[in-house]
Amino acid sequence: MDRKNNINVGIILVLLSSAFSACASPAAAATATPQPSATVTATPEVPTATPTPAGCQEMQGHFEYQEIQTTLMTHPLSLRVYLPVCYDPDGEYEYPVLYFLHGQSFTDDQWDRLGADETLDRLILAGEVAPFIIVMPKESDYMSNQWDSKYGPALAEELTVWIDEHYPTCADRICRAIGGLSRGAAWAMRSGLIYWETFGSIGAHSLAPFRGDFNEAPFWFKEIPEEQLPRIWIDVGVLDVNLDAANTFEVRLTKYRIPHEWHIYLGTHNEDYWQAHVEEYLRWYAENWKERMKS
Amino acid sequence: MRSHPFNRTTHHFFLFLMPVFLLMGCASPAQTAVQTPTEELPTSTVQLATPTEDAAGTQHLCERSGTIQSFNLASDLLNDTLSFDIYFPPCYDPHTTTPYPLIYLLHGQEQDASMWQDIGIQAAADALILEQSRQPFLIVMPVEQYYFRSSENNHYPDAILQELLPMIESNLPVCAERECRAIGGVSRGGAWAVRLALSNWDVFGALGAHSIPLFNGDLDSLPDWLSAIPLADLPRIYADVGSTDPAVKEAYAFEQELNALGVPHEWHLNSGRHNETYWAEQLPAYLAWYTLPWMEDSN
Repeated sequence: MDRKNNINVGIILVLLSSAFSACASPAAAATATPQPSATVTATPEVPTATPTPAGCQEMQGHFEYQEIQTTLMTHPLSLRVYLPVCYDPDGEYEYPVLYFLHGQSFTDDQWDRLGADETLDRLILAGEVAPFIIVMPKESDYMSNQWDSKYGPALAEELTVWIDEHYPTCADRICRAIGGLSRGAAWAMRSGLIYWETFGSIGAHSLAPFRGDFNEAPFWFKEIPEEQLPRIWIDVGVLDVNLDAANTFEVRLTKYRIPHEWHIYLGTHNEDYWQAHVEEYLRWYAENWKERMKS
Repeated sequence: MRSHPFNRTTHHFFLFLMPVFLLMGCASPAQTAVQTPTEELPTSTVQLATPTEDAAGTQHLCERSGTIQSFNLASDLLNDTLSFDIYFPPCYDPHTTTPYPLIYLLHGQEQDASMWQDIGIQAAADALILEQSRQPFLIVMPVEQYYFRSSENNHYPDAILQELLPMIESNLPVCAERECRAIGGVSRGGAWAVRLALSNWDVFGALGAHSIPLFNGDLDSLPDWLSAIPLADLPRIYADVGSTDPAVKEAYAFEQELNALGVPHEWHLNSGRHNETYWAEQLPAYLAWYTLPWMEDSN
């Protein structure tokens, strides 16, 4: 076939059609931004944060400080609970809960300092995420051996129950996420996998995995029915000294075909890094709770 | 700058395309512009015609859904026709003063550009623009006709880079900065995207490698490609694969090499296989990722 001929035919067609269609409609002047029009039926659903009570004028939420005595731990467990902007203890809305764990040498104020609370409020007010509660427990014996410590089991077995009793939560695994940074990430990963019936999402930020968990993990995976696997997120700074260890853990996930996501960002193992990414973290947890925005 | 070796044929092509693009903004909202590419005839010509009544005189009306149109380019490098589809966003404006960012998406073996329509690209792209604050963007979807040929001495990537890309940029109101250009693909198309993006880091700002096995030898080329890129100019990289895809190991080898080289990226192991069901499930996430830097200003 002679291509050139075809192209000539094409030109003629174009010219003809352009003669007919020559910008009959002023719509040609339409701007690139989508404009609502009366004739269009399928308007996109605008997410409304109905869970926030009507008329709420708040701009931010507030913390409550708690201390509970668990049976697993010998000393009391301190924690702060972030109740987000327009939190309504008496409404019908059931709040999902993020259990958000600090790192070694830090305390329960860490995620507060990193801006998790302000960021959450901003996202809620913008209608971008469904309101949820953030529980920030304190690991006071953060130097303890991770097999002797009952911190992880106490969180999963006792703290979640206590929270569900004292706050208007959605007491379903899908509504519970566990996440943390560094050593907190190690706890989140271990507890999230072992207590898969309790948590629907696991976020491991700058994961510094517990050494033994490399070999334990495959046994944990085996216990979880495939359709019940929690969502898993791992991220590490490219200059983080834990990169290799985190990657060694991640290799297990890929090897055993456990769905997950893995993010390598510029940065190292410090608060600048976590601060830069806290919004992404919160958005990721909230993704599981999107439908709750609409009802 | 790269050279733009146009010859007479491509030039002719431009001449005929220009009125097409100029007119596109007038296309009526009623028309469904999805068409399969034909081998030779520029199919785009067919669908520009006939404004419908309701298009006339209704100033406020612009399309609530994007359109996909097919084009052909006579490629010297391929010594053949390079077909491609373009997704135009809702309310596409050929005279815009804010040029469109764009994504190049490459199909896999035994597929052509229609795979993107099969997996719902138009609705997914529309949704991002209409509901998720993305700037309107374009998607260019070339067809690799000879997908069974070896990757060696294969001019398909050259044709994309040296013929298709300049043709697009000189005829459409697109932003010609690397931050505005993303490239990605599935399977073999993803392997092309890796090669194109990493060996031309000054051209593309983002790379999506979906369900890829790399081409032979490319794993070994990664260190060279990547070490040539200044740290601050590394493209954004997204790699993913289905957990029961036979390509998991190869996709993972690519990802692990990025780890080893200290290259920021993200890796998603999802439930799923190596098929259009998987890509249809993932497509909204892919597009959301490509377009993440292209948010409308919220004010």
